[in-house]
Amino acid sequence: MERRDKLLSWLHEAQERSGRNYLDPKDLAAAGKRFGLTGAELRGVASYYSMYSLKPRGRHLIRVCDSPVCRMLGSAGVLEALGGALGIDGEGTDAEGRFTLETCQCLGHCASAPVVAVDGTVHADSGPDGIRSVLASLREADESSSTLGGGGRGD
Amino acid sequence: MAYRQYMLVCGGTGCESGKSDEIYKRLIAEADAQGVKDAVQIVKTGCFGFCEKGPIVKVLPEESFYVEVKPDDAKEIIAEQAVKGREVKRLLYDKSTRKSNNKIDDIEFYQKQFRIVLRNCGVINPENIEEYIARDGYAALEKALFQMKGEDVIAELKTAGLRGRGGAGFPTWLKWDLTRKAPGDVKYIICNADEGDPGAYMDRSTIEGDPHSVLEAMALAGYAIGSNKGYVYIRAEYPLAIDRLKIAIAQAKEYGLLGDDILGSGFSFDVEIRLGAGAFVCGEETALMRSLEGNRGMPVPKPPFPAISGLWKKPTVINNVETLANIPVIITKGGAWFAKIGTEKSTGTKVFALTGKVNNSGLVEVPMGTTLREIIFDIGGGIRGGKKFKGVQTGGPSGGIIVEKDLDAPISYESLAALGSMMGSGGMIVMDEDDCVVDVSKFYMEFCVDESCGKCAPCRIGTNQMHDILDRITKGKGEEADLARLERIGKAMTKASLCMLGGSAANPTLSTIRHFREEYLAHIRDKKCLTGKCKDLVTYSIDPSKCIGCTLCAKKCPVPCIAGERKQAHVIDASRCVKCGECYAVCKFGAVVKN
Repeated sequence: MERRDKLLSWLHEAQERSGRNYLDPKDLAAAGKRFGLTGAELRGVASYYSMYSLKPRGRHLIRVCDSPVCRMLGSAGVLEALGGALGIDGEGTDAEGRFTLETCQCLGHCASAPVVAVDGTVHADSGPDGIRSVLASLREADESSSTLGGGGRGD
Repeated sequence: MAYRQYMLVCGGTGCESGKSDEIYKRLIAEADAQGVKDAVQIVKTGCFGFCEKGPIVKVLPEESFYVEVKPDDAKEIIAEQAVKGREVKRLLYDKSTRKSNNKIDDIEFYQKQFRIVLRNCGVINPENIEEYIARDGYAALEKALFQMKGEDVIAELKTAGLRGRGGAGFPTWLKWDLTRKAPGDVKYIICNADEGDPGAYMDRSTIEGDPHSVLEAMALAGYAIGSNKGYVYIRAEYPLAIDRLKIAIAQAKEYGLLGDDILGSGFSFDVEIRLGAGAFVCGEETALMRSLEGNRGMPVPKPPFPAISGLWKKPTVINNVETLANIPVIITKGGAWFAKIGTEKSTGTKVFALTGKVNNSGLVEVPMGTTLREIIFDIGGGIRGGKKFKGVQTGGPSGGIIVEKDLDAPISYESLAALGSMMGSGGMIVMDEDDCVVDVSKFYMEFCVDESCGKCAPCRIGTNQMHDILDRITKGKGEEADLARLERIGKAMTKASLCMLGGSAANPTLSTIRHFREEYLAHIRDKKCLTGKCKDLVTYSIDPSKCIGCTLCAKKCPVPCIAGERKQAHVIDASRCVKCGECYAVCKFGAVVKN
């Protein structure tokens, strides 16, 4: 039985493996065996931290920093522009399960505010123009991954 | 063969997202193509701190300091500087053109800085341990292991007067001494790299730019208190810092500077990384340790303090990244040297993340005792767009706002506390006349509501109550008695909360009420937001003398509530207006008036 101090890292990896940026019930069951924890204990930990999701999200995760500096410099407009481009109202996942748009707390790049993290990579100075090129590259990456059979539809 | 020139390319996350990696690769490719690859060494370094002007490339020995470099500039930099020995003038930081040269020391952003913590950032390649060693890296560890006893190391820190840079300012030597004297065979060292304070990123840059300085300090701490095991608890939002730390740990082990029997001294010390998962309160030391153990990261009452009962109930030293990064220098140069820098009670330097409405955003390291005015106006170059300074928030959601009349106070733990704010971890958010303090206080309270772990009632309920009151004030539904309510709840939270999240959550609100009571009253009595930031208090109207009747606003209005014939002045029906601001944004004639 593994000591549970490695649990958080293990959950991060499981979430990445899932292809849908969430903790699959199967993975939680596996974590239960590995760390000797009950379902309730695991859900208690997983639901406490904002980076984990117990529900499937899109294949690509877009996090818009919503901390004071980014807000002062226009993060609300960034969220709106992204939502408009992706067909997502506010925060949430698009109908095809490709993108999830959510806000998050400080990403620590305040000198380049407003910033957005796409699949963990931070894009600085994400004004409307910056974000358009990010989206274009994401769409391209997503299309090539689906033609290669990576990440299907359905939950 | 020795290189003739060195090109340092910033590899901090800020510059990387500005394509510095591509610049780095293009420089290498161009050096090869233009036949100078044996004459120029191209190195990727940590953050220069001057993030506002990134990506940055510095060339030695000329000390050319290039800003806002693009990948396409690589060809010219190599052709001009490496081949012909001429600077590329158009890329130089232009504000110092009054000087004949363009050395980093001549740029106002760097003039008042003094770098101890950031000594290697932007100087060495953080992924190469030999560059750290070449700059006296691990010399402090060697000195301690062979010339000092554990208590000597602690005595040196006491002489230095180093205090915790995470914000609270507890004397570092005392933490170490208590842990050293605590009974028990197994003890731990934790580096707190869970930097969640909005507006603060000095720890990320320190680890990205100089990871070994933190590892060396952890080993020193282990030697001083009798511990063989350290953990770096770092937030998962910092992937580049995590990667650099992993590389650094592997290299230090390979060189025998971590692991068993370090340098043949008989002392063993190992470091592992543990990740956070997005919970601000885990920066609080007791919550951090619960999270590191794999639990929900909630604080527990103190005492017992970590020095007695910490990680897995063992005596534990827990220090912040910046605190640790100071320590190797203190051991090498001596505590007395360090104590001469700064003020009597706050020695050394402090790194600040200067952000918001300031011209030169970035990381600055200054001696304690420097004034806020020097940081904001000399180093920071003043307020963006020539606007008027309104206030600076230090200490993030735990601190307060500092206004114009207090800007000449020399920075120290005591002076900032006396001004009703705090040192905090070093975020410094500058606000101008366009920012509404009620709105900003509401942001911060919203953050605390989100991040409160919910364990203790004063914080869980108090933050929600304060947020609701602030929210209704910004919507024009506040009453004068609300100010007294905010103050009463705030005081109760400050006294009764379990940890400093709740204990300091009221600070931004209380300090803005103290300095800007009139602005709160304008929201409450007159239902007016003078900055126009509180949408509900803004009314839009059309100035008939300016409106040419182009109908654009009427077309864009989502309600629609704008009426008027083509080529006739239009009118907004204020009773139906949803205050989205579209009309204001699209009008090309300045006819839509916001007040």
